[in-house]
Amino acid sequence: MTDQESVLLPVADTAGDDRPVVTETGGLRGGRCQSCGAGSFPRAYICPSCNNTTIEEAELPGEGSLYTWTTVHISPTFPTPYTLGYIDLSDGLRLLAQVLAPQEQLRCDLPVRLVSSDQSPTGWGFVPVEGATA
Amino acid sequence: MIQETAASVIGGAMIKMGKHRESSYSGLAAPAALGALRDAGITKDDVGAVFCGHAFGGMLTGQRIVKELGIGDVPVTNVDNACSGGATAVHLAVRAIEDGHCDIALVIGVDKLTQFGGGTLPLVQEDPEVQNGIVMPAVYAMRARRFLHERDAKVEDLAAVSVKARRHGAANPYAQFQSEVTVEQVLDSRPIADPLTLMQCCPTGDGAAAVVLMSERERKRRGAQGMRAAASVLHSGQFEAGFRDMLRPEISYHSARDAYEAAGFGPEDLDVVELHDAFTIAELVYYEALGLCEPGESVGLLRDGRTTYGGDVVVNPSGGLLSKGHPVGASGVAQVVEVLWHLTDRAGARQVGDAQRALTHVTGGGIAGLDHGACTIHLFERTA
Ligand SMILES: [Zn+2]
Repeated sequence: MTDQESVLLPVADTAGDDRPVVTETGGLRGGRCQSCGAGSFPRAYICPSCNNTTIEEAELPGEGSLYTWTTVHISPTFPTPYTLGYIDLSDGLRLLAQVLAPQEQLRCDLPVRLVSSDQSPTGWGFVPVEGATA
Repeated sequence: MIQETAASVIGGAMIKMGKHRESSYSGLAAPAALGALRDAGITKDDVGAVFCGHAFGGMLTGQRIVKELGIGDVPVTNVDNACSGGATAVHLAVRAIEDGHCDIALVIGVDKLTQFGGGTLPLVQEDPEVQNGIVMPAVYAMRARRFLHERDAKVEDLAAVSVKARRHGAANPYAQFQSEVTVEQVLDSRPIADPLTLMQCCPTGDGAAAVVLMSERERKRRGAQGMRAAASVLHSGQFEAGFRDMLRPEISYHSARDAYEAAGFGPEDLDVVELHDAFTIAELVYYEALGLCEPGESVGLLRDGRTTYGGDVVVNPSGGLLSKGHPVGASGVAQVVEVLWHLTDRAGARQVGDAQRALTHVTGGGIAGLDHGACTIHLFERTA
């Protein structure tokens, strides 16, 4: 493996991406494996399912359901309190995200949708879908 | 017939867990290491290999400790596996003996969390969930929230885990907390990550523990007694991009299945269990994962007193991580010392009567897409 083209290089995965996580059409900026179709967020560089390395940027659905959630009162990362939840997206992917709603409006399996928000320390998060009740 | 290379824990020691700001890593661990050698009836020159589990000790922690005892010229292996680091070191020692690399191994587990000045355990910032604000209490709090949603359980059932832990710990002179608490006190303590309150979270602290393991051949030659490692299982978590049932963490289920299969005995044969109760909810989830009851029955198991003295099996007689304390890398080894004391009738006021078989269980870490990074389960039985 001495020819130039075979020399492995690292992935510049901390180089940063200033573009918002929420796409202009309200989806989630993630990745999709071009071989097996597996979605990823954040966008993967090696597909954990098939190990293909061709993963293109893709828009993931901005809707899902709130599997569980907690309001955090102690954290070295952001000012407290803030609320986190695991969201199961409609295409099956699960992610951790900020949940931007008072506790009284939350319950497990609540339908939620993705938003950009200055209220979130990450600039984005999920809110209850209009009409969904706790 | 026990193989000549089977491994047994022959000696063990730990220091009192707590806030020991005036102690270095070697200051914490050297007394435990020396105590374990003495307890095993061996000298430093008998040690053929050293395994040291820690998460935050920095480079060459094991060597810094054993040089204080004059131990050198043998392989010293340092192990990080988050909260499972100490138990992983025990696992490597068992393997080293079973594979014939040495006849006597010293295992040390140590960590000093007061170096961080309090707060939650520092996590690795490269992880996307950490960048989104995850902290260890939040991982377990979300598990608790889902548990309360799916089960016939109330926050009082979570608090009851702390009440039991503190009651057990009150009889343990090595515990960081040696006082009992009520359900009301637990629920009224300050919120950490809803529904978990402060008294439902293991405390920040420092500690160390050490054990000496021997091959069966060496043990018989010396006529030493202790407990045989009937199973030593280490698993990593399996990445899952989608749905994971947080009430059925696969890593602990699979580790337990493999451990019982290797040992040839099951959960119904256990007298003592030391499990990973870093937060109250963990104990309820792990009753089921370790097969102490059927899935869905953990709340009833606790309510009916079946996991304390007088019940089916005593879970966390030490007070567990909630009461004894949880200096990450030390905990897996401290669990082994605790069950050694029970299986050799030396546990004092908290002795579990006629204890023949024990299980220790510790997981490690939170990583995006995994239940946990590591899980170690050991099964022990008295040497004949
Ligand atoms: Zn793929």
